[in-house]
Amino acid sequence: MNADDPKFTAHVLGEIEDLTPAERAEIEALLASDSAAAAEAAETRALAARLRAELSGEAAAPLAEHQRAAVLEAAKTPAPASKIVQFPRRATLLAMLAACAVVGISVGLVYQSLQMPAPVSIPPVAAASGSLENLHADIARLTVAEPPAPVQLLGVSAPLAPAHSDLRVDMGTLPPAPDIMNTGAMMPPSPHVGGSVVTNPNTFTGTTVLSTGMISVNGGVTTFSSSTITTFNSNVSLTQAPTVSGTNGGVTVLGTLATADASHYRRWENQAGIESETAAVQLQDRGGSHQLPSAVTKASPNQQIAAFTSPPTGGAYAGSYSDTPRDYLQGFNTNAFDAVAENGFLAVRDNPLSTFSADVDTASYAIVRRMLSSNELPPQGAVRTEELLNYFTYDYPQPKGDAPFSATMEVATCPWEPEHRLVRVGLKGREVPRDQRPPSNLVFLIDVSGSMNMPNKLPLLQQAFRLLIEQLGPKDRVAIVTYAGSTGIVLEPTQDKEAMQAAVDRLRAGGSTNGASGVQLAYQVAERSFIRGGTNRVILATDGDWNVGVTNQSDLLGMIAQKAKGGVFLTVLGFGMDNLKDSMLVKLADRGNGHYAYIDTPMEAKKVFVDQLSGTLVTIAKDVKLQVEFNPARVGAYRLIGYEKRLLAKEDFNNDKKDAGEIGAGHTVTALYEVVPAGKETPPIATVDKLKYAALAPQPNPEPARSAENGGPNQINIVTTSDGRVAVTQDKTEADGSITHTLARSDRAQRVAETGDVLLYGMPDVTQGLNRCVATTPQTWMKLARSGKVEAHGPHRTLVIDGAPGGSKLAQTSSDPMGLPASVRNEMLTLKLRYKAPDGDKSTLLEYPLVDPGTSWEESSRDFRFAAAVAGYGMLLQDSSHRGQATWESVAAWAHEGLGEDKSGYREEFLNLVKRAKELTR
Amino acid sequence: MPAPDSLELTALLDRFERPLVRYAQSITGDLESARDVVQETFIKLARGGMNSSSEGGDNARHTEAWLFTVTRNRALDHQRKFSRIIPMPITEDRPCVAPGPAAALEQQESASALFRLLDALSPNQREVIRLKFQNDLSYREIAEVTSLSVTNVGFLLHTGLKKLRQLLREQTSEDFNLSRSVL
Repeated sequence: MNADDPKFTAHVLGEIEDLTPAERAEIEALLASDSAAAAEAAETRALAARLRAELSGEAAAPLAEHQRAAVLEAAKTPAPASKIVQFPRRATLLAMLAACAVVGISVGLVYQSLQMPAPVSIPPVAAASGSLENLHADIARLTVAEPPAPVQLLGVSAPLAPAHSDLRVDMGTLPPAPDIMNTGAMMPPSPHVGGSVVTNPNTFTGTTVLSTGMISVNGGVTTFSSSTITTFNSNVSLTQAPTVSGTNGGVTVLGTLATADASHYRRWENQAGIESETAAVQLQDRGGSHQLPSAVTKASPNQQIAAFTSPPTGGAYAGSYSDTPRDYLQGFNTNAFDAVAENGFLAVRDNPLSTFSADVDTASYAIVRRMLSSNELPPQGAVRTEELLNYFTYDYPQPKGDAPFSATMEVATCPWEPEHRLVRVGLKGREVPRDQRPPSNLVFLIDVSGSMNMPNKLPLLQQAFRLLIEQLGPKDRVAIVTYAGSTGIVLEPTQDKEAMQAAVDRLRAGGSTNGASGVQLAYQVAERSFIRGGTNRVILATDGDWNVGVTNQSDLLGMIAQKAKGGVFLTVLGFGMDNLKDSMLVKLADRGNGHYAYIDTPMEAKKVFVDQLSGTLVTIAKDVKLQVEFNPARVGAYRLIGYEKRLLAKEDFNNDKKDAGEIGAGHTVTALYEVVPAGKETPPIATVDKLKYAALAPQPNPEPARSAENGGPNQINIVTTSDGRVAVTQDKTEADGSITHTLARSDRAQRVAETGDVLLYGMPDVTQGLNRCVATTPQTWMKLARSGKVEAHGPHRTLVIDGAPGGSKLAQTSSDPMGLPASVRNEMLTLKLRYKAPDGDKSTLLEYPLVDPGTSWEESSRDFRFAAAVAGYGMLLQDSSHRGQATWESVAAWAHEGLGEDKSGYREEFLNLVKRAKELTR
Repeated sequence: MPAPDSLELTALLDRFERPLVRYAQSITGDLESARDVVQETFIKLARGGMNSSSEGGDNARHTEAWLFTVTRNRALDHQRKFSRIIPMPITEDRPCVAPGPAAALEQQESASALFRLLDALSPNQREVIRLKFQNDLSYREIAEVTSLSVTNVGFLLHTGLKKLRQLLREQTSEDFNLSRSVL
């Protein structure tokens, strides 16, 4: 035995199972005695480690998403008896040809001056209907011709309907297979490319082969890049950095262009999201700041694609722009709530989370109504779209099980911006039947100051309270506190309805107002007659005129919030229009865990105190917060309609100390999001300046790509691989002489000098034997110890494939992006809800994912249409820049479509308001 | 192993799709064919194909070897059908976030140095080195995948590594980048 024996190498590599004990002994003796053999062994080990590291850096693409889906689908369907011949294919020759055109269209660029030595011919193909998704064809038929045969591209005419998602090609006119050369590529359309692009029929005339180098851009578009580039024809490869020069110049496309052999086909599947971010082409802008020019996303409708012109010198390139992935990788920023006026669009990649507090106030609707009916347009500040939406009840399902409310979502075409989607989030509080309502301890706190002495104030107020008293049961108690120049208890707590009615009738207005002292007294009375397990509530009725005494707002609000914690909630009723302190009343109700209604008519009093009395009195959940996480693979940008004053920081969602909105029995909460699907043109998004100090943020220093000559046993090696990441390897010799290999890949690695352990930062991914541990967040870091132990810190996913005999065990926890099942990747968003029981301190979390089934406006529900109409009404009243195609006429039409039964007549009344508003704005 | 359920299948996909696509690509030379091959392999697995064709043994290691075997056979079939195809380097999956051009070039150089050396080996040697060091298969598994004997695999690896070491020694003096990168 010597060092030049394969068995010696096997031993060095830890392959001992096929060695006899005698051979092992002989080799070990040789290693111990012969220093040359030991040196050979060390060299082989070093080479093995290096191979492991370097080879791990080689690109390893996953399957295309649809291929994974097909595999998982195959698991569901039982195996057919015959062997598998075909697999679902979405894109084939025609798709590719067309896609090639489409991509070109979506960018609106043509690259010429590529040379194609041999003519390529493809018989004319007429384009017709069928979406890209549906392009199934038998690839086998299409890949038959003998390679060196010249191929001709005679003319593919493809009138292409808007955008790449709607590519239409007719498979019916396929000519006999052998003539067809399969070529073409489908670029991964970047999420930022797209928009409504329509082209004229495009004609492809003959072509030849690509040669090298220069690509010139037709037209003054600055940047262009594609992750893959299509070529047709013979065995010519175009590699290495071609230069793209355009009229605005300064763009270099680095990367490799690939050509397909004539007999071969090539497809680039559409892989939204992650895959397209890791495109192979890098864009460099020599001229400083790098912008995604709008020209790229917005090609003119009549852009002509003059692909493959003038053989033999013409060649065409079409490509899609991949947005700089750099920005993507810098993580999300959290600037979600700086909107002061109307919420604008936010980019999902910067703000994937939208967080806000539930709100059941309805005052704004009645205030607007009041103004419109007095022939006045409301000031923009009076229009709170969420209160308009929540004024109406929608037909949401009753909650099931123990949950105090149900959540439903619906998504359909956004009526004022048909390219966008409108998502409706609806919460419905559990109904509490009148006879099951817990006993109430109510304190009416009534403003009887001089300003209340108007027909639409005190008399209306008295009418309202009479209605309320009629609804009360024998166990309910009422006290009345008035406040004006002096504060007093008009009615001590009583269950006697006649006494209550009499006290209400006796109310007279006069004097000035010191709201604060009245509020204090009302709370004292409420606490005195507190009903454990019942409803304890102060009902404040005022025009909001606080003009006497030291009314320190923050003291007052603090006191109310504290009382709310103690179980006495506050409902606020606004009256009158002359000096209503709307903003103050919103705040009072918010702090007091109650809701704010504006009583402008006896009808409205009936709505609040009769129709929705349970909701007004019984709180079923408090601190209800909503957080929506958008999937960047599906959604480019979004806009929360309304809720401007209810926005929360994303961290507040999980912070149980942070107060939020309450939901009463039977209350519905409705929120709408206008969503820009990924890939569609995004409306202008407010941006912030580039961070000045971002590069200075402390980061762990990567170990230089070099390690000690001789690090002792179980040395961990760190190597920088060609993809710019690091590969960390360890060969650990086990007691039995076998070797356990560990390979870790991460962005950075750092060696701990004292222990020799290695810390891994930047999406570490550690494979040890068959087991694998993958970080799922950029913050996750891992440690590979000299002992071979792997520790993960932060969210990660472990994948254990246990090689024990007797069966494989597979365990999986959480998921990394690529590992997410297709169902999750397809989700548009996830709605998360947190709420507390009315007397609880700890919140409960509910989660609801939403997949967009592509519902059209026509297929949407009545409630959906009505809510859209209300949002449109709000936008028009606010003169919103986001109103798109919404007009008073269209709002009325949508509302009409969504009218439904409308038992209480509120929706009919809405139509009248729309009419009134239309007249006033004319 | 009977047909895996979807959880198992997802786990196996997560674990092996990339290594298998890479391996298939080393045979077919292009990514799309490689993906097709691997898709077919997984579909076969999903439909319980391992059951009917397996020679026994049912642990996860065996599943891995089976996946590589089927991928290899299908990739070779594909190659035979399209033998005139000249493989193209495909860089689709490389991340875009690259350092400056100079650094990128330097990195490319040192990384491709080893790949260049690998090119000097025979296809057989290259393949067993890939299976051993890129995919961490044992001699026996490599033998199973490639239909070679274990002795044969040991011999190919031994001679392949020996040749690489020799080439490396020759290169080291002239190529600074190479010594820079490892160990």
